[in-house]
Amino acid sequence: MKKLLLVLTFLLLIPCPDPFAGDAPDWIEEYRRRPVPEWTRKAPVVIFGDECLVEVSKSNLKIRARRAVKVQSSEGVSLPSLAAGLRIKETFILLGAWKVRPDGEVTEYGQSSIVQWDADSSYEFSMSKVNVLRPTGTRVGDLIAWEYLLKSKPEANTQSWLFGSKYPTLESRFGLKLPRDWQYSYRALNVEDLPSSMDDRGFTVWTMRNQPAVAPEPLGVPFRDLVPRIIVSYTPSTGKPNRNTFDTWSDLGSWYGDIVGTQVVSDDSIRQAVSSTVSDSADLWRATGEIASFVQGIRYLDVAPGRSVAEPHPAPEILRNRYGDCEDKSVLTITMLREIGVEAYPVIALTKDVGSVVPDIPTPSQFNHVLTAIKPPGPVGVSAEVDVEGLGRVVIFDPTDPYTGLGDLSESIQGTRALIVHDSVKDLILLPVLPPGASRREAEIRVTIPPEGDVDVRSEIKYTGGYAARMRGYFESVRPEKRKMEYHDYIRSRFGRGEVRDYDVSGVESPADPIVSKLDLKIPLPGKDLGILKTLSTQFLLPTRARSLPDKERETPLRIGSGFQEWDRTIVEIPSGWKFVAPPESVKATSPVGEYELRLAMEGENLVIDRRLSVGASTVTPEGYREIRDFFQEVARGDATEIALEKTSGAGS
Amino acid sequence: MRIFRIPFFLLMVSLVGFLSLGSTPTMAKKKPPKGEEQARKPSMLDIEDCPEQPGCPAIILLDETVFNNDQFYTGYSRRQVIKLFTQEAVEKYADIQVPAMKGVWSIKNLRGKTVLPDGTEIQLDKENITEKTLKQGKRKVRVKSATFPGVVPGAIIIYGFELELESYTYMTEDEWAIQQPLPVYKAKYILKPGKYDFGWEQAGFEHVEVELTRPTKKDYVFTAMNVPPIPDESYGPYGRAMQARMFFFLPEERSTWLGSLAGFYARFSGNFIEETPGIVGAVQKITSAEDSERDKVLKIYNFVQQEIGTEEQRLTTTQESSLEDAENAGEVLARGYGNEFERTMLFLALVKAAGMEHGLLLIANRYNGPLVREIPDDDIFDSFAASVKMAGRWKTFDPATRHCPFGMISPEKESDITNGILIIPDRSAGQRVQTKIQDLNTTIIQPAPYNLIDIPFSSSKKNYLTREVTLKLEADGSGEIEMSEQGTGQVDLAQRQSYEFLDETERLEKLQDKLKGLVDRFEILEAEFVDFSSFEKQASINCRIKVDGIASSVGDRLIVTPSLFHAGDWNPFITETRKAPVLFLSTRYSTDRILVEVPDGYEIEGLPDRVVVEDPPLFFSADYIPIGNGFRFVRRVNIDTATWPANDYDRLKSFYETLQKTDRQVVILTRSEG
Repeated sequence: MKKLLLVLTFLLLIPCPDPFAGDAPDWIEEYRRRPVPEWTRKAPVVIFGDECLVEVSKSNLKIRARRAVKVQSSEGVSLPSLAAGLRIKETFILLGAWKVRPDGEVTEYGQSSIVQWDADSSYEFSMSKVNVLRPTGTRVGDLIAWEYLLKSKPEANTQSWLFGSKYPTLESRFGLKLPRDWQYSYRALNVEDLPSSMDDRGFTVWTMRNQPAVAPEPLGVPFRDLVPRIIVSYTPSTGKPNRNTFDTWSDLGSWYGDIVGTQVVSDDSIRQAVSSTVSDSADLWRATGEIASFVQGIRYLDVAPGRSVAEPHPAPEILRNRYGDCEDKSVLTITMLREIGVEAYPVIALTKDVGSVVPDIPTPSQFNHVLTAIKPPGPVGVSAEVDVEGLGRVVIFDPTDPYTGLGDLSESIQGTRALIVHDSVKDLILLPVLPPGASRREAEIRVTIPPEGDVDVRSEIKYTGGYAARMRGYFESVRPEKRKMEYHDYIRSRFGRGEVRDYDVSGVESPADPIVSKLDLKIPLPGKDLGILKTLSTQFLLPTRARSLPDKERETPLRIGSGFQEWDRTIVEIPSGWKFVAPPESVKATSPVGEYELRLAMEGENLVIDRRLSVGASTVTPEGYREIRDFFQEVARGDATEIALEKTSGAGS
Repeated sequence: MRIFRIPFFLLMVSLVGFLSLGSTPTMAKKKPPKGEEQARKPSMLDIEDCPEQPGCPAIILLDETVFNNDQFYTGYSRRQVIKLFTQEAVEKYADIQVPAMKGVWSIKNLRGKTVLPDGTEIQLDKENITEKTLKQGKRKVRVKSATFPGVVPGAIIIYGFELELESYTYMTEDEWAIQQPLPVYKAKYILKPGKYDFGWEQAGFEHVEVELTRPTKKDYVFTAMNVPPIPDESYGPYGRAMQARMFFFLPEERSTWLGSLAGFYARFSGNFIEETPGIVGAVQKITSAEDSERDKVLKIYNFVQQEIGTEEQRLTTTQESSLEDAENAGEVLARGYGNEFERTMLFLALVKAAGMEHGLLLIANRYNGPLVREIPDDDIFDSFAASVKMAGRWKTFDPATRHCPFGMISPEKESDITNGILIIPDRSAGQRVQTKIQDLNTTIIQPAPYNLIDIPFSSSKKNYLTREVTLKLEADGSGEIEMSEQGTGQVDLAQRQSYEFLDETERLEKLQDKLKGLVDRFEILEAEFVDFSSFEKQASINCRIKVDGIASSVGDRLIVTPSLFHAGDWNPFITETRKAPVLFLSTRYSTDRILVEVPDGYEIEGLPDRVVVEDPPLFFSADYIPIGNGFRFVRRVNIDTATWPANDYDRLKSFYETLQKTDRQVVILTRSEG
């Protein structure tokens, strides 16, 4: 009902939008006449046509876009928003929008029907918006369509286009028109053949038809790497340098270096911050770590200043605000490190969840992130160290990631291509993929089972590298005072009763440190207590990162983004008068992605359960998926192992 | 003069912290208000935790609102002083955002600063503020976002602003959110009613002590100290229902608000259903003159249920789409779909055309809090239903809830207390009339008659869940489960709402997710989702599942937990005390009948004794019945109320403890000799 009251309020305040009866243009009628293929019938909507025509002039860029979508089900009624992103310094002009009923009745919509949303409401400071049209009263069977113009002065002479979507696309066209003396080159991705043609308006046009819906699978490659795509670069053929054209990665590096260079400026506030952060300026690597940790502690905020989406703030302003985006954090890191005599450079990168960088198309639009490359004072022997031609050894560091310490690399950038912004760097570098041991959990758990009543569980768990980074986010979100209470509630909810006698976690604050968690519990037997017989789950305390892969088959590769190890030792002490009932056999499994072993052995009166799981970052083809699935099922089987104790005859209770 | 009331939804936006800041030079030169000075006292800087809630991420040291009608328009100001203890709090509470609507009100005199742990102050300046205008048709919403500079754990942020209404515009209602998601050290509301009398009333499940002082004759100062955060309890109502709030209003509104609301809806619904195109023709097609009253209503109900699509999903995605609501029932009929209100009104229009007495029900859903007649709070009503007089008695229907059984109502609309009003659609009702309240010349909606109603919980006998299961156990401890699950009434409704609009893959994923919480290491061999779109038959899920390790193999024994689908359940009621009532989705009688087939060569060592808990309206039983070489486990749980009062929480807690314990009972199978 609140909705209704809102309606009334708004009706008093503003004029209604302006849909009116009208005629649909020929291009829509042409789409409407085409039959809907049988293979699209189950889709909630079908994209009849999606077109993007880019017209480049010497001073600006015009994109004329058209889209026509047919609604095929009630679920589809809520879907067909026509949406167009709008970035800084872009102008959006609606040329027309229409809803066409199956009987041909046409409703036309004007500019005032357009609603603007934040491009991402979680980034309040982002200036990017989305123009959205939701035609009134859409029904199943309707075709909705629009045509608009985007005008801008782009920063790079490149364009890209996706020929598919989450829904079936019957026709997708991308066109390019350049000034007479310009030339272009293009790359077609995720498609074998993409011929072009020239239309009668002078556009070079690439068209794809009958594209099925593209749906990334869980743990799969991202949408951008699945859908057919084109990237086009263009440039004047006059031979004069053009600031928006990047022939080489070196050109791109120079362009970004110019933008960043003016912001890497120091002042008294920077010097003071360095002085209070660094504990021993003689130990340069330690000082580097302290500065790295300081910048990681500054919160992330998407704050593009307005002149360019790629332009960071000056370092003193970032320091004063104590917030900034990835570029800001890189600038502040570089500036502060320079104060102690350590050189560092920006690194333009693309996170793995979005897609992969195409190595032979130098353009800023391929990237979404900025890291920092730090020149270490000497050999430091860390996982994130890379040898770069022309620059020597550098340590890649992500100051935006608050949980991954200096020397380590988060899953999102391992194995990706990136560009170090430095005069001597001419090409992309490949960021390392860390071995499983770089992300590790080591646990020692001691379980004491009394003859009657609840069991004592004491554990010490050490997390390092990427494993620590994952846990840091969890531990940091709850203050130590509350952590114990929350764990207590968890125990009681899961086991019915229990007591957390002690819960101490250290190493959370500094991303470079391992995290050590010490836990002392009294809980009901994590198994079955039958009086003369008790069973005990061998893995009851710690969750595993081993994957659960329910799907029997896959169509696209499976991607395990980063490796890890879990080395857990559980020592079970049993009361006198009890004995183990034939300890289960050990479980062992190997596969191309890792190894697993659960070994049970008696050591004196105690049972020792050693569990070792090692999984490496991998990409597995659909054909190889079955083997990996079997491996993880074996891990699950091993982890479900239970042991049993029985009372020996004559033992007291 | 006119009365103007700020829509509550926008005030809510401000109260949850999405506020914009700005500053004017004049304000910046002023001496900081007393509360802000206090925040800079060393004692405040030294606070490292919330006194009453150890481990809190942040505390609101001061939350002050001034409502001032003692001038030629309502002045409304707010100040907050927040101490942030953790990085998480820095991320969450150091940004603020506020929308201002051009031509309605603006945000003035905004100021803010960060006080660092060492006492250093950093002023909020224009660099820290982003202003963005979003066009919504011809309307412009200006969104200001500000973030406090230099914030680190241990810092204090201070900000304030004023809302400025147009001249000679007064607010006559306000809602003070005493309680916040964070603990509040001091919450203060200063009411300067001017020449008007105001009444006030506290709402929310958690009562907070509020002290009223009168420093001057003109001022009423309400203060609450050490206010705990809004409780977050499992199976609790929505946050707003929990939140301690104080409503301020003109006392005249207390007795008239429900009548005025009834007047508004009587007129609105009357206009919606009277003389609208297509309705008479439609009802002639749907019903026949020979039909009984019941048959007519049933046919109309089925027509709306089956032929008119829902639009809720569309409505909840964007506010602006609400501009597209139908203007009358004929339009809903022509469109073929509608939102909850529109579908309900189409049903009533058809019932009216069939010549039957009818009424619109405005309902306060249980999760939104109880209807308190003394508190003028339109927002308490958030649901609709229809009432039809049959054989002299009003019967309730819920045509807008897809698949809701005839004569039943969506469970959140049921209650154990008065939770709605019945309004007769009448386009001549609810006229706007000029009147004088106190000395304010204003326009009000003429009150219309209404009846308070309560829609009691349906009996759990109508909301039955049956799960028929066979477990074929293997000697290695694995097993194959065949399961068939089917519900009636609101249970069936809930099943359909979960699965109906999913495709087969999504349904399977959903089932997989559901099973994941119940059993480990399983594989769905087969699954069938039957009749989920049917309006005639009950929906059911049939599946075959292979489960590894469903029984523990110990030497020559197999140990099995017969309560297959509940053995791993966590107890949601573990806290010692409870502040809010426990709200179950609906009343429910569920039965699991699980036949365990023992593998060849094994025999049952013994079966547990029957467990029974009879504590009406709660009932639980677990029976273990030998059948051949196996046994049947029958688990029955009846919860015949959907709202459980907080003051009787211990009974419920104890009931669930027994449930959890019994669900973990095991049966031992021993390998037979020879």
